[in-house]
Amino acid sequence: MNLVLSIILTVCAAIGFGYGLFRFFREDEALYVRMIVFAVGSAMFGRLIETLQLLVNGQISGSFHIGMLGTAGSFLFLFSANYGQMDSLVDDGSKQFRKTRIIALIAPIVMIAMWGVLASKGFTAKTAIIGIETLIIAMAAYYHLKHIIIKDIDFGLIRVLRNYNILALVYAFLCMAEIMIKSFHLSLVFVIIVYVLQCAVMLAFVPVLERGVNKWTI
Amino acid sequence: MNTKHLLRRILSVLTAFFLAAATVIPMAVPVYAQNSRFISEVMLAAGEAAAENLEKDGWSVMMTGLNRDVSADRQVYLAYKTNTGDPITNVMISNDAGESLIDHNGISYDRASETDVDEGVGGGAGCLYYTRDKKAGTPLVGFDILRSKEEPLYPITNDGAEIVRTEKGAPADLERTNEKSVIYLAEIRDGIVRPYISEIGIVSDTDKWNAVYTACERGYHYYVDGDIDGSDDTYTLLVYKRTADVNQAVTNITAVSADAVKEMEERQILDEAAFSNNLTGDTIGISGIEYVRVSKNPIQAQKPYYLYQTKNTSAGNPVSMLYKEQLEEAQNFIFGTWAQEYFFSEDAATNAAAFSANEDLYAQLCEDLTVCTKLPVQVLDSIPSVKTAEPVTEETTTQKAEETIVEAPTDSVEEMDSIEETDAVEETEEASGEETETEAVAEEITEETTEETTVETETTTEETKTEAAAEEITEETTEETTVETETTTEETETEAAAEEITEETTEETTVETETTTEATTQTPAGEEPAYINILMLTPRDGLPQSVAQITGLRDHLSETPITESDARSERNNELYASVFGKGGPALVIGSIVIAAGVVSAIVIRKKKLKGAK
Amino acid sequence: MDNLSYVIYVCLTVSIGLMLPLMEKKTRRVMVFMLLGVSACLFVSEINSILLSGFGGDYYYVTTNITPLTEEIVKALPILYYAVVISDDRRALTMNAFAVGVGFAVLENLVLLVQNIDSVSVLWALARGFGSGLVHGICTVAVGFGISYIKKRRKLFYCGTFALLATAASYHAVFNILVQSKYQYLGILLPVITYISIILLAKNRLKKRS
Repeated sequence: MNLVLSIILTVCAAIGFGYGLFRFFREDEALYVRMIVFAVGSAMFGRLIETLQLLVNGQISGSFHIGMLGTAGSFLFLFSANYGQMDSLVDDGSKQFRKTRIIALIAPIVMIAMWGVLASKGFTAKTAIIGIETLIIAMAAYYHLKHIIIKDIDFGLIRVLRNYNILALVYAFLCMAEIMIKSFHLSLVFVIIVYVLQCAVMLAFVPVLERGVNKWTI
Repeated sequence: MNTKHLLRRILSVLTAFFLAAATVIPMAVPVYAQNSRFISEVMLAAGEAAAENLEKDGWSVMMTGLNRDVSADRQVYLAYKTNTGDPITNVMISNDAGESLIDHNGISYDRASETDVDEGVGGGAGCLYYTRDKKAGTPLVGFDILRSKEEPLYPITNDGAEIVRTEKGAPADLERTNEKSVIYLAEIRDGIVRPYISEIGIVSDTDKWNAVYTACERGYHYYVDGDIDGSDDTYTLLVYKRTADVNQAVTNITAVSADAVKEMEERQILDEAAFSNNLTGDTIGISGIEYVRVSKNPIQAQKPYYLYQTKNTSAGNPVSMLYKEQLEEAQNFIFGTWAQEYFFSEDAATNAAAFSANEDLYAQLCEDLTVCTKLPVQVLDSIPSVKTAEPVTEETTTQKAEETIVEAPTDSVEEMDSIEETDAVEETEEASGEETETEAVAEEITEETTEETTVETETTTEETKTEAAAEEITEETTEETTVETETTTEETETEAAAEEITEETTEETTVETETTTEATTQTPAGEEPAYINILMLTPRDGLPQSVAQITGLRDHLSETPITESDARSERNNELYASVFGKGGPALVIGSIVIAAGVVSAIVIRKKKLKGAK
Repeated sequence: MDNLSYVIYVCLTVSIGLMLPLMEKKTRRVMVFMLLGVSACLFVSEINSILLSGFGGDYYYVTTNITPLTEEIVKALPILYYAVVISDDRRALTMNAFAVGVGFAVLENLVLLVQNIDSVSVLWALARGFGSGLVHGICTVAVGFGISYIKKRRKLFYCGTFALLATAASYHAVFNILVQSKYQYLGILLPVITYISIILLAKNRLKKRS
């Protein structure tokens, strides 16, 4: 069953990535959107590796497998895109946005708390590696939440991307949920729900981003 | 560049290096989950007052005493401390030693207390001894007291707890003076979660309790409940040991009929890996993989068989559980006799229910798994009648061995060699071949061997146009009269060649047995593989239910089943994936170059920035 | 003979190195990066053998999970150096990155050839040449190309580089898993298809620009 779910998720991520390449790479587009497409691509590679390992070996063995890098790379791209490109357009570091910055910490705190629950079960190599992955997801989630709640008055670039940021935040929590479900060996029903939602997110990522980007007037 | 900027840069670089290091280092230095509490001191207290005094001194005292039916002031209590020093790795009970003793493994033990463990009922069972030697095992994390009056109490708990023994290795009964009741002290080790079976054994006795006791004496801590031979005279128990190390796990168990083993030994049918003759059935090859016999004597089922085990990863996935007969799913992870009382230190009290849920065990079992499956243990009965390896040393004695090799001229690369040793007086051979107009080549080999009379073999070859390779072997055996063997081979137009080999030998009346096997290890057409009433739980679904094929006797290269390193490197690796060096200066020189590059990059950047300013 | 890889390395680098003074600037730069790729392969082979022993000789696990990461990191180092110190011109970085990848693949194929001389064939050579050469080239190009975008933006540079390396290592791992499975030829097709797609995309963009 895991193999089937993995294949479906890989295909959905590949469709999202392919659509992103088609839409944003044929002509000159902003680096921001290209980085998000690369994020989808990185996630696709991670899922592809998991699918192949399940297909070839029947299991994913070891504390670390390179599919984790796909997920980590995906969120690093998302983090870089938001932190490196967009955040400076809305947040000038002034006291005006302090409240927003503090509220946005909720997302990473929740994620780190989720990892803390896992770590309390026993600290192993796998827990440490999941911790690093959690850190990266949390970093990305912080900026997604921040860009959802921040008042973007000046340029409106981030305001129109609110839906995309919500989707990205949902994806971050789905990835964390997947980690927790697999670590605690919860019922297959939960696995299916998480995978189905991730498929929907992968398919919707680029179209939702496109809709927001089309509203950019600058 | 302002300070804030510089600090951000430094922080980014440090974070980057930390992420990289934190990813690689934990993999190189695996951290295993361990129970943080371990027993570091033990003591026996005679009487409730002594126990209270110990509690005041910071000891934890087990609420259940070690003796039965005695008043509190005569009861013997086990007290312990945790994490006050080096962990205790084993305890034992002895009444022959003084302050210290050395057991049969050469490990030194110190006496915990002068109080006898059964002082409340008169004494005589002995004193408690402990050791901190790492060779004795992993740290103890708890104790358990098992009691039974008049009902049989097995000295194997099947939950990982080990019965405390005497210095001679036998389970120590704390109530030795009372024949009607048994009290065992069990020790629980860290790493109780041992998801894989590392060794299996067979113990036979007249009754179950004796069999379990013998298994305990031999060092086994688990057994499959139920008599596997089904006979009324003996109770045969399948026992096993567990491990947390997947590399030590048994990956497959196969039964081989005693007749087949005997015949192989007599006819010295050798595997390609064998180096010499005069081998025994202790080690055989099955589908090219080395299997080691579990017990010297066969299991006396209706048709006697030997059990063989292997740890070769090509044979299958690690076996996690063994069952006798089909069990309901709900019974999967519930083990046998449970501890009645179960105590850790008061701060981290756990009970039998927590372990009986086997949450951690299940988690360990399923951590890397997609699905579990139960595989039945196959019984192999047929031995290779045609494919026999040539012995390394040539035997030229004409009395016993004669080799006859007949090859028909063919275009095919395949050749058929057969060697048979008989005590026959006469041997005649006939070979004939036919070729048809189809593309494939025909090959006929006829062999005759006799024991007391004549053996005639005929081989005919036919060629057909089929897609699959098929091999038919028909055997008939005679003892007193004519032995006829017919070999027919079929060849097809496709890539695989088909052969039919028919051997006929007759007994007084003609007895024909036909066995059909394919050239590959796929499930043969027309024959259902036989199984015994043992199931293995392994982590992989859809493991091909192929009939394994005995390939012959093997040299026993090691005393214990060989732990093979992952054989996947040899599978489908023609194209290879990476290069591996053999040690040279490249590492040092490369590191120096990289370091020089980093330094030069920093220096040049600084100069550029200075120039820009 | 032990350390045949060093013998091959010397044979390759000395011959090409002697040629360098006679080349034009651009070509010389590309050949230098190719030699750096060859050197990186030798360096990585020693690291891989240490890692292999560290992971208990589990060849399959190391080649599918660890070596893609180490190889991509080491291959990226010359490109990073060039981008940080010399120039972040996209075209130059792309060419140099591809040269590093190809140089890496050349030594890798030669070492594997001599280590498995009994089992090689022309088909094997074609498979290794197309498969390995393209994979290494594409992965390094991805890193170099990405660096050209993010290098100027400080906030992007570190995390972006890691993200690029992670993606490249994932792609490389996909290839390694496929070639060591029964889907070997799918593993060889993957970089060929990727390469053709990139060429077509680049040509398309050039057309539009002109």
